[in-house]
Amino acid sequence: MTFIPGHFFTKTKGHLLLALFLILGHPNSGWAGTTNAEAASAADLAWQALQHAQASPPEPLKQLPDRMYSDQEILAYYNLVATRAGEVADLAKNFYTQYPDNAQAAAARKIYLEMLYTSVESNTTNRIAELETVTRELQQAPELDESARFQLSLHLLHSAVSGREHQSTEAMRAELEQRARQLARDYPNHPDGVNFLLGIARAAAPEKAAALARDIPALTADAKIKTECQGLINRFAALGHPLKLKLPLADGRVLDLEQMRGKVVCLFFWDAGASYTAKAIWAVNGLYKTYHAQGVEFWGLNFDATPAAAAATLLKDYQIEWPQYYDLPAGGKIQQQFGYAQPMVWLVDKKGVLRDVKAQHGPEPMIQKLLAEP
Amino acid sequence: MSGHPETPEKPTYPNKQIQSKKYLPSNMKYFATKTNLAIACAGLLLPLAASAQTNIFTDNYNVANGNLDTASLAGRTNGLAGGVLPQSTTVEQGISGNALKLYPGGGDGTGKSGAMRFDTIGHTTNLWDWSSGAGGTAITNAGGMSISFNWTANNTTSSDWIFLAAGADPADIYGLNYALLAASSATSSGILIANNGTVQAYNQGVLSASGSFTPAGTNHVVKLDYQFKSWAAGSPVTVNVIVDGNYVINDSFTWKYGAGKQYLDLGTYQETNVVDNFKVSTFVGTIASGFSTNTFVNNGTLPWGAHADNGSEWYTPTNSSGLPCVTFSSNALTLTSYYIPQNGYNYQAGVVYATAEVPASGYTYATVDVDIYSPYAGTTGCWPAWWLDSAWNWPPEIDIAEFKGNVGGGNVWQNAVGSDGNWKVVISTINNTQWHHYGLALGPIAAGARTYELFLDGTLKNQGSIPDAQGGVPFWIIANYAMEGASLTPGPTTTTTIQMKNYVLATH
Repeated sequence: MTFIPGHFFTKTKGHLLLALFLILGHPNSGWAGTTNAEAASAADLAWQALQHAQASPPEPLKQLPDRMYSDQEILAYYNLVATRAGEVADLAKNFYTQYPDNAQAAAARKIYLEMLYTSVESNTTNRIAELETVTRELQQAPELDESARFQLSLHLLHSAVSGREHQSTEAMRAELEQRARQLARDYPNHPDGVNFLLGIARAAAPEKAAALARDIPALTADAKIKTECQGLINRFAALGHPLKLKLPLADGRVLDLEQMRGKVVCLFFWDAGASYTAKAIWAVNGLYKTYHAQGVEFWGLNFDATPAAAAATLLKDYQIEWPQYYDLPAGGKIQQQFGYAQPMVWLVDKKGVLRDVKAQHGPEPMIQKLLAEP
Repeated sequence: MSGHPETPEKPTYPNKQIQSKKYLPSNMKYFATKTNLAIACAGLLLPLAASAQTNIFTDNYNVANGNLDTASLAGRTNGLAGGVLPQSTTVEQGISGNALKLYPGGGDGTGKSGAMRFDTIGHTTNLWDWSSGAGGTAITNAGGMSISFNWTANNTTSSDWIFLAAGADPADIYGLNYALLAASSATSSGILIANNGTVQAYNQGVLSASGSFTPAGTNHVVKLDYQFKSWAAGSPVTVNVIVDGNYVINDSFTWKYGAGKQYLDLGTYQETNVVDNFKVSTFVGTIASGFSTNTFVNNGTLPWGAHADNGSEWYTPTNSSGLPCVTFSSNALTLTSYYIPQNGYNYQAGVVYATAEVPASGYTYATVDVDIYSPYAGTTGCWPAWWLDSAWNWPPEIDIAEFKGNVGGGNVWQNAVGSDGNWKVVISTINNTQWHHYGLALGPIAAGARTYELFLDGTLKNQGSIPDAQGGVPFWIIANYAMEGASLTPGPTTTTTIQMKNYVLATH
């Protein structure tokens, strides 16, 4: 299943705004605090102070004429933003707590949430728990449907993950995994949580990927995702072991890895529907031109449902000389065994051992290494 | 300043969260980006790069009207080469209206050439050797020099030439044998620029490159970038000629003379021309700038040859009605999308890519700057972009400006994805009735990754580090006008356009 950012953001933004309107703009929202009425002038001054604070963010970083920013400068900037936004959030909370009946109280609540999001996203990880609590409170509003509640959870996820950015890559991934699991459990009808986990699995080291792939099927009813998860498990299990493949071609020939001993084999998994397939074919074809003469065999494994028009057009455009195996017309055995979601490159060494299942991110170093091996 | 919005934006907190997808599921999209931009002030040249240069010599000619040779230097000249004395050659040159007035006449036997040479203060019979002193060292340390000036031409005919001779023989400069100096066999490199748009580069008297610019009016900004590491005789030099911000020609030559005889001469031919703000500075590596068929390939394909992506456009230089999908004019690039079905696609649209790649290394950092006018930013189905794509393989990719309708709640995306397939996305909202400046600063490969900074109207929007599994890949620069796809459907049923200006690719 492909994650489409356009759809995601459109829905996220629209539903989130709707949720905020329903909650923050509603006079009977249960989220409001209660205080005694204050003198109008004091409330006005407080409101003006809040507005001024909100309208006075730190100066943004400007394009430098003679250098790039250092990591320290970037971090300092986001720390400043986090601190300042946190202060505004506190001011806003003070306002609606102190003046709950003021006409601007609902607006102050909205400012509080916006600034809390900003603070957390910028680097205030110690307020993630507060944002989580606020999110839960917001989600209690009876006006919200499941979709609106989901968007609030998704916003929390994005904010918390963004807030970990300056901590470490591992911290970001851990935050994402934890919240994605929660998202998948809480909203089984929304694919985002599972898709996040799949994304982590695809990028993770073999052990981690396999572990995630074992967990994900319990979180979804999507058969395609289950198949991909099993494929992830199988492909990482195959890594480091002899790979046995016999691929029948349309012309009756059979590609047999057993017959390739002594050669490096590059397996290119692809379909015409992926948005970057054309470039992927171009890139693999470039590898073919460079390395085929040095002893590298290239096989294409296509996963289009009907390998006719699009696939044929693409192959024709690039004048492909390496053979193509069409999996689905042949029964879909490779799809079932190893899964397929997007173009990827595997490398098999001269002894027939599967050495790399993610070589699409930079195949040349591994190809050269395998060629140098006896 | 070119490229900045006409109306200052109200300060806001950075919108970091909603755009950040780092380490979220990979959404590799190769035909995903499109471009549109246009530049605000065509006359200004390389505003960002200029401030990084070391000033070797500047003359603003801000002095009372009179003869050049006797004019005071006070408050007029400055720079690291403090001993430079501008003087006349072949005919007395003048200063008028706080600018240099270059007169033709005399010296070449036909009475058509005149020039400004550079002597040494106190030794007016000795030409200034630009390889000398701290200035000369600063130039070679920086990898070359840039010479720029404002030029007001006399007319727009082919007879109105201005020229810069680099590495010229002093005998020629002093007029003892003053044929057209720039085209003399005794001159290492001569650049001639005519205000009918013709530009020629001579290499020791041999025409070695030619090009053209659009001679709109008579006021121009000229910049000559000389890249070299040594002043020694025989050392290689490349020169880029940039007129009004547009790359015109590139030439290669070698210094005919070595250190001690590195002279410059600025002259006119046949007509009286006006020069102001003459400047010699250390080189800031402009690899390419401007939009023309010299700097961009326009053959209806992306760099890797594909003619279409998962959008609804069919890329072509000219649509089936003969109208251009790509137009280079008035220093701007215009990409057009027509709602005319072709080969199963709903639209016919333009795509170009730069002839110069962003190199992988060899610099402290590289910059790509451009101004874009995207009147259809926010329109569903319009998906133009200005972006960088790995020239070798899959990601990395950097989208300096990508317009996807209203997807994500804004109308311009600035993204980066490393070879691990993880995206970091920042979405902003621009006023689509104005030009906007988009900038990228990119570090070289280091420890398997490259740092990047993406700017919108001079403000940092997205920064980070992208892994580079290939150990340092160059990038293509691509401008394309995709339709629908990531910008969703339905797209417009009308013709839409995007414009770009003031493109500069530089290394620092």
